[in-house]
Amino acid sequence: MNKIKNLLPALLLFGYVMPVLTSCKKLEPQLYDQIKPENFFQSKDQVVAFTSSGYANVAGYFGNFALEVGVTSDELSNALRSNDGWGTNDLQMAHAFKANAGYVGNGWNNTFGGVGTCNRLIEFLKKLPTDQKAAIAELRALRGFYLWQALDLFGNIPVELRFEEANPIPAQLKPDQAFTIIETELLQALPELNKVKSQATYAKMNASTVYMILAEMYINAERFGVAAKWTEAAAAANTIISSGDYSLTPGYFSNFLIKNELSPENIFVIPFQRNRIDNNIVHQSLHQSAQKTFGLSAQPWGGYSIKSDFYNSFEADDKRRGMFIVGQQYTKDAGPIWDASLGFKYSNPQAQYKLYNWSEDYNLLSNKEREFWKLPTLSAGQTYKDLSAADQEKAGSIVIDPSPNPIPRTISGRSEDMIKYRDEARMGKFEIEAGTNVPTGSDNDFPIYRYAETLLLRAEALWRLNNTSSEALNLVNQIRDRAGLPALKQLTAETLFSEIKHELAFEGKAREVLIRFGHWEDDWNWKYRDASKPGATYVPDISKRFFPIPESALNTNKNLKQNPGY
Amino acid sequence: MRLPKIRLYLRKSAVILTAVFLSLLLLFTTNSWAQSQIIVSGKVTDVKGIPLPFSTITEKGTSNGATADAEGKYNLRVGKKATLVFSYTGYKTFEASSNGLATLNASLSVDLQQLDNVVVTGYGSQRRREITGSVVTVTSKDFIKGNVGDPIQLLQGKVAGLQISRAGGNPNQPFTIRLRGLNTFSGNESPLIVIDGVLGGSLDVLDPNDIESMEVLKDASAAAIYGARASAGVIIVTTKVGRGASKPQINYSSQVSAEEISKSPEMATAAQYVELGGQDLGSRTDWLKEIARTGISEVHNISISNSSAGGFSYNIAANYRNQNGVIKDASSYKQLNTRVNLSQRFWDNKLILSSSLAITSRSENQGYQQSLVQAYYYNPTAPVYGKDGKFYETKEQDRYNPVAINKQNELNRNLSTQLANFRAEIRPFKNLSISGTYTEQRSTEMTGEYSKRDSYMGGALVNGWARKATTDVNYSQFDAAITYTNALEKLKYVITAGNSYNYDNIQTQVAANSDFITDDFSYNNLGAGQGINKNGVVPVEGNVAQPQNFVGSSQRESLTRAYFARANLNYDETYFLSGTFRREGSSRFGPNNRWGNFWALSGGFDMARILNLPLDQLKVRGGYGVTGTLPNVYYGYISTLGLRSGGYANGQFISGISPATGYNPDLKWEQKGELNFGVDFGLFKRLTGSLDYFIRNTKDLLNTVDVPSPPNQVTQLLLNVGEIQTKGIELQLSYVAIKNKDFSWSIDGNMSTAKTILVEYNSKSDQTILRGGGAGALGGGANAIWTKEGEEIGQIYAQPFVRYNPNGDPIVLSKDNKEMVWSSGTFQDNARPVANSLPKVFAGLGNNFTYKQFDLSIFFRGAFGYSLVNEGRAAFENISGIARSNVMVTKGEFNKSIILPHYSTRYVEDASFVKLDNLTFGYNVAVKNKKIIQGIRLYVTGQNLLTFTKYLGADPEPRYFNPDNVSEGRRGNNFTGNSLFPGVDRFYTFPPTRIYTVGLNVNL
Repeated sequence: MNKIKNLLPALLLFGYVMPVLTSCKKLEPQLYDQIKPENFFQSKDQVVAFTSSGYANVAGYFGNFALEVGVTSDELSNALRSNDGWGTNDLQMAHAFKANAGYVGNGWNNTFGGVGTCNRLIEFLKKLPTDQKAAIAELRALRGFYLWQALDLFGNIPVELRFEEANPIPAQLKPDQAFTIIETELLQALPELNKVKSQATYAKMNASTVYMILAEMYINAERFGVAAKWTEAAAAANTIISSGDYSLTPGYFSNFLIKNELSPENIFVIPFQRNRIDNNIVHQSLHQSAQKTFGLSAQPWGGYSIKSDFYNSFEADDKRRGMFIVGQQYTKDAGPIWDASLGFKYSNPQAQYKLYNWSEDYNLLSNKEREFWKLPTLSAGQTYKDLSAADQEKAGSIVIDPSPNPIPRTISGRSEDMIKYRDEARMGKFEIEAGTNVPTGSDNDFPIYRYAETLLLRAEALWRLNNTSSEALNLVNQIRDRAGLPALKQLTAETLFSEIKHELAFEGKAREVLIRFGHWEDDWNWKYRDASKPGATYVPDISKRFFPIPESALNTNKNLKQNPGY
Repeated sequence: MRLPKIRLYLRKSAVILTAVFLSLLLLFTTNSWAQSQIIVSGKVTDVKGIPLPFSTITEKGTSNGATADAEGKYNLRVGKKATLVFSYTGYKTFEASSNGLATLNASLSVDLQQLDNVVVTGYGSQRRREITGSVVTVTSKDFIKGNVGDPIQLLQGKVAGLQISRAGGNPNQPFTIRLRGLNTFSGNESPLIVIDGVLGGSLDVLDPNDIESMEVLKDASAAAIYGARASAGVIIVTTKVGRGASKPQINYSSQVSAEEISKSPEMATAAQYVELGGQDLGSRTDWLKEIARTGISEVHNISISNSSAGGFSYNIAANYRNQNGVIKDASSYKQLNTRVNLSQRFWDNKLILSSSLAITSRSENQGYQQSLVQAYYYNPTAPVYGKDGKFYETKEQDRYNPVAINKQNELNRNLSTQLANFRAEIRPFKNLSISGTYTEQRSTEMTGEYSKRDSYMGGALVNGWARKATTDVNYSQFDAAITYTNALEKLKYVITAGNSYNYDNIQTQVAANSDFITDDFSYNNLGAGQGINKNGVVPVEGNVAQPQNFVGSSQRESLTRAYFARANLNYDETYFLSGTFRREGSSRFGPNNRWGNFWALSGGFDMARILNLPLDQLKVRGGYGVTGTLPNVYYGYISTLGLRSGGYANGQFISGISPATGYNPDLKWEQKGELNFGVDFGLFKRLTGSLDYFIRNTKDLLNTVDVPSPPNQVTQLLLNVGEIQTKGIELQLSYVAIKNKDFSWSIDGNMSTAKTILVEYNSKSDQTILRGGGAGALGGGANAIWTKEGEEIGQIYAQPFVRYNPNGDPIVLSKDNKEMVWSSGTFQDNARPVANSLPKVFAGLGNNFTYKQFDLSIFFRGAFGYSLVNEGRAAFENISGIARSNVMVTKGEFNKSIILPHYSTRYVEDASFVKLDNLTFGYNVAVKNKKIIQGIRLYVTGQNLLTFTKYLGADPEPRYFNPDNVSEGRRGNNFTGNSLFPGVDRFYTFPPTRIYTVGLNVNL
């Protein structure tokens, strides 16, 4: 009896233990919130959702080209101001590019991240049993766009178009070799792409966008050791013009308003939407006090301002000067608005709405600095609030001087030459929704390619082929006419250069135009050969036409060599 | 689809097991076996006849037992020929056969070595004498006393090599646990917690009062039985089981605590602020005072326990805590724990069925760390309320009324867990034991957040914003083990083999909406918001400044299966040998690298016995073992498609679908090899201790590192690269200085060192240096912590500070020792290593005194030989931000001519400290009439009473990681972060607190 009692639970237990001991050797987990590829790609929408993820890095153009590279050009400034939280930018402004700098690494990672994503997406699509020719062509064109950006920035780039079978450490190509591969890729993609503009192609690769990339590549071809391709550039631009899909808007600023997605000039844009990806280019530039101008719930960033030489290069009656915010600033009662033709202005700038009593940055100056700028000085223990009303007006009102007088570090003892706290013109090219609760950005789509650039590209290409081309002159005058400027009688390198620079200001094109017209090694604000002038001293060096290969890329890929000159 | 079936099968087996268990329980709880039993009673004393109160009496070979009363008296129902084992901590156990006797008195002699105490070692136990790995046991009588909410704090400072740290006194912030330094970058950096055999348990679900003992398995030879997840060591927690003597024992304990801020950053008063040039808004407000309070907390605990004659024993406990930290409308929680441990023995202990059921519910009011940040730097001349009776806001960028933050925003976290554990053990023959254990644990965590429509910090941007997130975790585990014990002459051996299977499934749901018509819904009626209708939802939730509308959910699962075996040999109580093997597979790896083998070998011999030395013991031991780490990523190796933000088509945003990033089919186990040598000694019946030396290398580190792009899509991937090495020495001592009838004095101390070196960061890259720990408020974003290959982790880099020049600019030394003006742009080229941020030495020292009915314990804890970067001083000990921010005016350091923030050795401070961590004074009331009340104890405890340090910041505790959200995050509470960049004292850290507790303990 006892034995049976002993045996019963033993048997029971073995019943449970043994099966578990021997089974269940495979440990395959189930997927829940991810998809198995074999279950996807059943509909057109699904393919579109798939290819659309390749565009995620396009938004990087905004930071890379418009802002970070904008600071290295003659457009944007990031000079030291009192209480400036923006770090040391004199070296970046003076083309002392560093391989470990954030802006260098960001440019590399963003463009090659886009390339890698496209490679992976393309390989996925190629393996599908269904025909995905159109989607593959779109992604090849997109990959061409990323590669072109990388080539433009770094020159000697690795080109790897595979993903799973990729060389883990691809070698660099010469710029001309990369140029040819990118050109071939784009040309091969072209036949499968949408020829006609539609809502489906907005912010997507269609034939016109690819012709714009090609036109831009051709017009800059010589920089990459490729023979001049002026004819090809003119032809590529002409294909877009003759498609009749695009036209100039009557007012320049229609392109930069909050609702600008209907602009007939847009060829390829970064689609911005508040709450998702914000266009905050203007917020990054405005002085903190502009919170009161636009009734924002928080202060803008107060970062990028505009170099005075660039500001002053505009003709007095150029309507495009509405992209600058200068002079006395007001509260939102003064009615800040954007006019489709004239850009930013106050509709009711009365004295009572003046912005004043801004003591923050004044208090942080030394008396030496106050004297230098002819501001009221303070004795020991005093602050702004101890000033007389008249002096407070002088020290605390928000008046933006677009041509400030920097104080040399030799006088101030600071680590860099410094401008007065709220000086240099601020950016107002993109409309801000006044009174909005959201502090960090707006909806305005950011144009990477727009029709005005198409016209200017064709004009320049024709002018390069024949500098008396009447079509070229005519195209440039179309642009000038809209800006309210008199027609030119003839085109010179300088008038053409100036027109392109002004029309495409802050759209990320300045660097390539400066290089193409031979001005990249010129002196401009914060970058002078003369050591006595403000900013870091510059020694002209054509190797600075490319940025250095980032340190992080060199660390991880032994086959990469640093660009010459670094 | 094999697995769901198996899971179903497991569930089924659990159900059957439960049914069998319950029916057997019903069948056999009758007294049919009791007739062969007798009641034995007696008194337990020491050799001088002094009663040993609450000593333990067990029937040998069973879990039947009783606890003596305060006078050492007991009675226990046992088998007629049972052997009784009498034990009392600090005394030698004593065995005697009942042999039909009705009275059995026992007198125990002092045993300072406690060599025969049983130590739980995972899937079994060993006597301390036999242990060949590095294992430390801490029993409840040695736990940290006072107001302890998190069970891990019970061990703080008690175990050499185990660092338990939390900067500041936020009761909702978890402790950082490190055993023998850093062992991994990407897996679990804390030891594996095993609660009553359940792997990976969370200490959240336990009340400190329910814990009987904790064992810390420090080296790989001790931990290898837990294989894949044991590379950071193992802490085994054993909860209290049924005790008593045919009469239930009831224990009630209660305590009340008062908590206050012990130190906070020295910010300028309103008057000083105005004098320094700050804008005077007319009021005088001490913001920290406005948001702080004296936190009053209470704890109640009741437990009922018995071990009946029928072989049935139980322990039922309920605990309630109402904990209130020092910040108003935040830093509080309520927790209710109930736990039922049951056990029934049959057939002369040939079958033992037992079960644990535990339910925890906890509700936290976390509040926002941001209120603290703002209290430090908000304008001290601003009033709390404006003239309109509403909260006053200065409307400066990123500045919010500190009082308003926690009044206008709520952040709550509710946690509820249910655990059921069934165990059956059968001993068909004398030497063989077979056991099976099934555990099912469910936990639901809910986070609710609401920012009111007038909250300037958040809700006002979008007219009210609510977010609710839940995480459901389902965990099941089945273990089966067979143990065979026998002896061949002088050789005793124990062989254990078994398998273990576990499954976890995690589901999350989150939704956030905005634009509410009233604040009354809080986060409980998300559909009432119009935000989603008006603005749509974002596809991927980010921790951004502005409140977003979001809807999302996820689910993932992970399976693990393991086979293990162990042999323990003991020859003549002199030579000991132990070998362990575990083969484990996890679904977190691809089929090629799914299984890993973990093993250990260790041995020891007692020199005292071999050489016949006049010592109690001198055991020399050594061992080597391999353990692993699981990655936190579940599907790191599979090629799948997942959601990607930024999709846009046909003029609107859509859900982009993309190959999930991070595909790595080669992902495999991270392996740690550890060599440990140790000596356990006992001298002259007074001193016991152990000394350990270890060296360990973790290879194939799971590490998210830079990869080349091209060809990769992303610039960082989780790969098996890199190696770290840790070496250290640990000393644990226990000394009885005085022990006589009325007075005793004992000293417990420990000391340890650990040094972790980055041997190789990434074998596939030339990168040899990593920089971090910057950003935040360090001047210009200088990275203060650099980790280089070949160097220790946690090196602080800075430029030596020389002086301020007349302009107030900081002059520092350049790389070649020339004076220069500090600038963030030139920092990296000129910085040099100036200190290390991880302590070289840790120490703990406890003194326990008893005099008649009084007892006193004093516990000191310290860490030495390290520095911290004082971010608060670097950022705020200057007047640059005075228009918007208050200024830090640290005594002897602040100078009003300092204008701009910078970072140099001026802000790298020696943080070595000694804390008077715990002081407890107790009184045992002499109860005359023991009819009802057996004993009463009253005590007072002070925690964190004194800190001796040169450090100028609020709390010198080491910072083991760099918080994830180093910006002035609105929501972030910064409980996790990157361990490669330790040592920056972020100025928003919760302030340290001092706690006073009064407690009462009643035994019925």
